[in-house]
Amino acid sequence: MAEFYRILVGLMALFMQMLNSAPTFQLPTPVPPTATPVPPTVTYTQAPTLTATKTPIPTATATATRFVVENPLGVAITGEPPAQNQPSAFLVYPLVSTANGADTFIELLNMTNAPVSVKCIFINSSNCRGLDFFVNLTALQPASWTAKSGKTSDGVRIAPPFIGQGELKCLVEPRSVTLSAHNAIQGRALVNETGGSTIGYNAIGIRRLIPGDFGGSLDLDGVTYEQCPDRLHFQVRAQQTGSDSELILVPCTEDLERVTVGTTNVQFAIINEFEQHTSGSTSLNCYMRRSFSQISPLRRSISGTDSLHAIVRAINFPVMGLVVNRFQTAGGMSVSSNTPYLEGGRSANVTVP
Amino acid sequence: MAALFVLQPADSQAQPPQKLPSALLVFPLLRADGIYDTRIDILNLTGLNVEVQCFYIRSEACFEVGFFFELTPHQPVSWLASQGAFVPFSAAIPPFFGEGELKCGIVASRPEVEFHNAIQGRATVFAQTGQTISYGATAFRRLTEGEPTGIFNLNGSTYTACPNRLHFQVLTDETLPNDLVLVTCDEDLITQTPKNITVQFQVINEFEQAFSASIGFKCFDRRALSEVSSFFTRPILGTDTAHVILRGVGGGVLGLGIDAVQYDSSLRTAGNEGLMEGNRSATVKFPSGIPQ
Repeated sequence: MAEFYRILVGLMALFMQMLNSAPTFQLPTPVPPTATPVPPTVTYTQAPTLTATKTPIPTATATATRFVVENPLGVAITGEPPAQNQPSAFLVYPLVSTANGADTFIELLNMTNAPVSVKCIFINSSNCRGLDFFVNLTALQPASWTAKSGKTSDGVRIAPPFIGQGELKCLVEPRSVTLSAHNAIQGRALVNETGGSTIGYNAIGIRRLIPGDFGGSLDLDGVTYEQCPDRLHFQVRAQQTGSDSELILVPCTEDLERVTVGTTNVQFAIINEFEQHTSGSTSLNCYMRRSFSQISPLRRSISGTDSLHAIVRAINFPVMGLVVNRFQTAGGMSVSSNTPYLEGGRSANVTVP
Repeated sequence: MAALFVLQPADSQAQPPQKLPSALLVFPLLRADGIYDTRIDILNLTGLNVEVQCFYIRSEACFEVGFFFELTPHQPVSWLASQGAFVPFSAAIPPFFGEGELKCGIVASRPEVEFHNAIQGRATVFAQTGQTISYGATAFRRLTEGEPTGIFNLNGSTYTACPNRLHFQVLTDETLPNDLVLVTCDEDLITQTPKNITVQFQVINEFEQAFSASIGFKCFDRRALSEVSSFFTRPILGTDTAHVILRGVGGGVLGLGIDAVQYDSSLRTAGNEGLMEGNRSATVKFPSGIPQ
């Protein structure tokens, strides 16, 4: 009997050991969101070496662990980003400039077969104040004007002149409650600078998700309108001799009725071609345009490779943005826009007068 | 004709969303010819290792050149089309000469959707003088789990569908190189049979006056708006910009606009990514067979 008991205990111990060592089906563990701002210093999370490592590709039979997603910012990704290049209800042009001899050619397009009323607001980076106006578009009508004059080339005034630098936000004031009356427009801007460069980009579009009236406030909550992107991904060239690109950021949350300006820290996670990570941070109120030479993790001397993956996330409210790529060619400077890839979604609110 | 075109309903409102982690990328314009070169950027947006299969497709005779490379988590890779690249421990990317397109698809290591929707990309075509056309690749997302087969069914259920129509707001000055680039959404790289496509154009000026025309092409086409029809010019259209709506007959099309402006006595260019409406099915077939 004692022998039988010993065998039974041994079998149970073996069974428990097997249970403990058995592969488990584990979903990716969400990292709790943290709002701790990163101190404004560059920190290496991995020593720079030139020995890139090749991690084996996970196979379906390797383990029962589903997969572990590395998250360089350490903040859980939730929500859905807005889909781009589609008929939208709300547009953000992150860069409009008439400063230093530049001018911006602004394009606005009605993509539907019905007329649409659009309210637009220039927001000047120097004082964060808005300058609003209306544009009425007939079915499928394109409209265009230069920001400096507010007129078409035929002299027809569409908008007030805009002096300085800032952003343009345009939203549909629908003539009916249907969804197609909201999601009607798209836009584009060509920023012509002195020195032979032009930055052309499509406006960031956000769609209405449910039919209804427009009440002067855009609830970008994933229910009424699409959410703002939680984070922006850019593939950029590191700052080095002959190449100094710029990062432009604007807030997603904006109270243009009371002109109250929020401030947030913006975190960067930078991954180079050897998968080495650096991080940094800066601050934003209503507008930020900063060259890479002013953002240390985006310098070649710190990042270590020419091509970088920059992940940008603001702490207090989501942001939208644009990179202006600049690099030297044999006969001149190549300048172009670099619009971000979007990940996750975060709620925001835009209030207009 | 114009009225019929406008009033035809789109097949669906579910156009392929852009700027999100995706499984298939289409770069409609590459150029490397000694005067122009193209910088190609591809980015792994996930924390997973991914295998990417790409094909350059030359406009001349629709010839293809295929290659593979690997990306580690969050890794960016960038190369000049004229030079190709060597990705450490992964694969060699061949150089490209001429004009054409690039299609890149994920060879997912596991069937979950997260292993398919991993990459994004952009291309910057630049002249030695600095004139630049930069654009984000048109992207398609995997919608359901499954093993990679090399067949991308862009049908709205396995992958997001091809757009039914493309919209561009274009500049009408015919004296400047304001061009449209078109490539086919369908592509059979197994049997190397390029598809002939007819494309209908509707052009609406700022006074809401509509004009229409059509062209045919095979695998790749680049032409000025005034070469689509002789009356698509600034003097006849009467306005600086026009709304171009285009739709392929017999197959979907993808495209890119090239905006050219004269400012401060210099000619500048910029890429103009098309806007999408509706969806329709298409198939992209890659020869499968991953080098081990």
